[in-house]
Amino acid sequence: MNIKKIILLLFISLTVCNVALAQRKVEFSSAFKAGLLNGEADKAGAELQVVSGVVYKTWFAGIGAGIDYYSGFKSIPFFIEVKKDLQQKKNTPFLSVDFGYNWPLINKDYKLNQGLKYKFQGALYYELSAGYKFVLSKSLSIALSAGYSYKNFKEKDTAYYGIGPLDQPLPPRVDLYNYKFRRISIKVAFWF
Amino acid sequence: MMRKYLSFFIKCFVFIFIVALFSGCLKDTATHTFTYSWYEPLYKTKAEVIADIKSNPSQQIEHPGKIFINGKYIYLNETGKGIHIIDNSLPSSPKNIAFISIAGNVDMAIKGNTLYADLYNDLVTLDITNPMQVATTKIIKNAFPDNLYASYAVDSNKIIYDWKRHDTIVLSDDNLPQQSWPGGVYYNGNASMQNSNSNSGQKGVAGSMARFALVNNYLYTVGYTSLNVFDISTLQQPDFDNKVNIGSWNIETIFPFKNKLFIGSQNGMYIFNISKPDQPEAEGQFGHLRSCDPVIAEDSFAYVTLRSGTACQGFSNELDILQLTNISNPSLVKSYNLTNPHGLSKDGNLLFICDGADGLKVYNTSDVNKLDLIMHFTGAETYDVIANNKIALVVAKDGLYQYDYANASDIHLLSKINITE
Repeated sequence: MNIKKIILLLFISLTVCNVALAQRKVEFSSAFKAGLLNGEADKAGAELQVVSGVVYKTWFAGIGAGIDYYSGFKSIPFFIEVKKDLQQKKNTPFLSVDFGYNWPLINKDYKLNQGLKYKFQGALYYELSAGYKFVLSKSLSIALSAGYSYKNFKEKDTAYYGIGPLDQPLPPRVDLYNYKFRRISIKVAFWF
Repeated sequence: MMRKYLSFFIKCFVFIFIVALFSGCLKDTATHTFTYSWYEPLYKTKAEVIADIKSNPSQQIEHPGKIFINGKYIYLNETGKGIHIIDNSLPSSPKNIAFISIAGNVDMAIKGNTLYADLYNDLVTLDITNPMQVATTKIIKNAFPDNLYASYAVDSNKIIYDWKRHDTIVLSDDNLPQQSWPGGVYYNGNASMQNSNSNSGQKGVAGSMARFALVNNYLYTVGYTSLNVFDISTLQQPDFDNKVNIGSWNIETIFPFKNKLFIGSQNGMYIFNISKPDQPEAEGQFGHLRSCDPVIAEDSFAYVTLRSGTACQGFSNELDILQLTNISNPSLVKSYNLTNPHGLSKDGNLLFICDGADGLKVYNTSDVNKLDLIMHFTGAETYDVIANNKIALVVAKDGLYQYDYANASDIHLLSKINITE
């Protein structure tokens, strides 16, 4: 998914929010989330996220961003979140979907060499989760959730080391890496 | 109330169970695709290669190397394959008339009607009295033991006469990026920066990238670490005479001037005294950071271009002008920044520098402390130049250019022979 499509989705979401707000049937809500990411990597990763959007009856729709550190790769996911409370009660289980773009934040020095160029490109991010929300006060609730988290990004390394037998420069060697991380995400979120 | 929490915990259990089912999907992958090029050597027997050393029909110029002007003819090396003969009777309309197939050829020198060229390890001597009927007169075996291609030693019976390029795409499932190179990709350890120049009194004029130099009755050649001396008293029957260790490695170029040899390496410039022609003696040196460095010299100054790049490493791209008053200890007069300088040539006060992708630059050197850039020709990736007899012959990636510099204020292009890839 390219950035234009994501921006379009965000725009549509905000438009829907504005329409809903105009009808005064919705209210704003935000959340701060922290979680653990566990997959094939030797060590568990971590993520922090901020989400903000609107609540309409048992639905929440918003936009979010965060930082995701897993398997030595940092990235910033930008996403749309849709959450559905399964009951119209204060304490309720819920289902949630995040869908967006994963922007890699890699320390590019880790293999810096003369004659080597590298380029990183973001790709798909999504998370499917379920959890339970407890209301702590009128304006604060806490939610525990677990889910399946996927992040993807790409790396292109171009090396200009080769010299042909006739002393002519060889076309560069190009290495393409497509990283796909599939993890379990366990999160705690504070909604206000 | 109790039932409600029980229900919740049952749901949590179901949820965790479902997530556990998904755990088979918890796989991290780093799909790795890489593309690279490599060359496959194509062989002929040595007898076939030697039989092919003759004036063949002209061929397209593809990978030009060293140049040599001999009378009305330009001899242009086709790297690793042989020598083009170009009739330059009319510099405005040069004609590619013949091609001498010499497998592995990189360097050459010409004196009179005799051409000396390397055939991998061997020194080939050719009679070029009639360029259309070139004939081999002598081959000295193993004259250049350094001439090896990376992982391919030269077989005594089979010789690499050409290379076939392969472009390969490989898919793998590495989990971590790797920087290893697949086999078959070549690195030429003998580097790509060669130079040299003419010597007074000789008929031929070499470019500034040569590794062969002629002085009177001797042919001097540089290898990776050594200086070889050949006696050419009998022009077409040269004899190996002596081998001198230069005391450095990555030797690239040799430039004769009077009774000195100026030798360029990736580590510095070395000066050898050839008052005793068959026994060169080290006389001075000027070190610098690792770079490629063609060098030319005159009475008072030496001009050295340093360049960085693939085979040259280093990070310097400049022209160094050295004072030669004290020949045993040359001193730096001034450095001038350049883009990626290769060959250079000087005629009178005009200094021509091939500055790689930045084209050809022409300087007035009346004041070495303040060189004046009087002309800059862009658009060609230039490699080597010979300024001789008011015509600058420039080898570039896309062609062989000739510029008329009879009038320094009106240096202009005379002709161009296109090079095909």
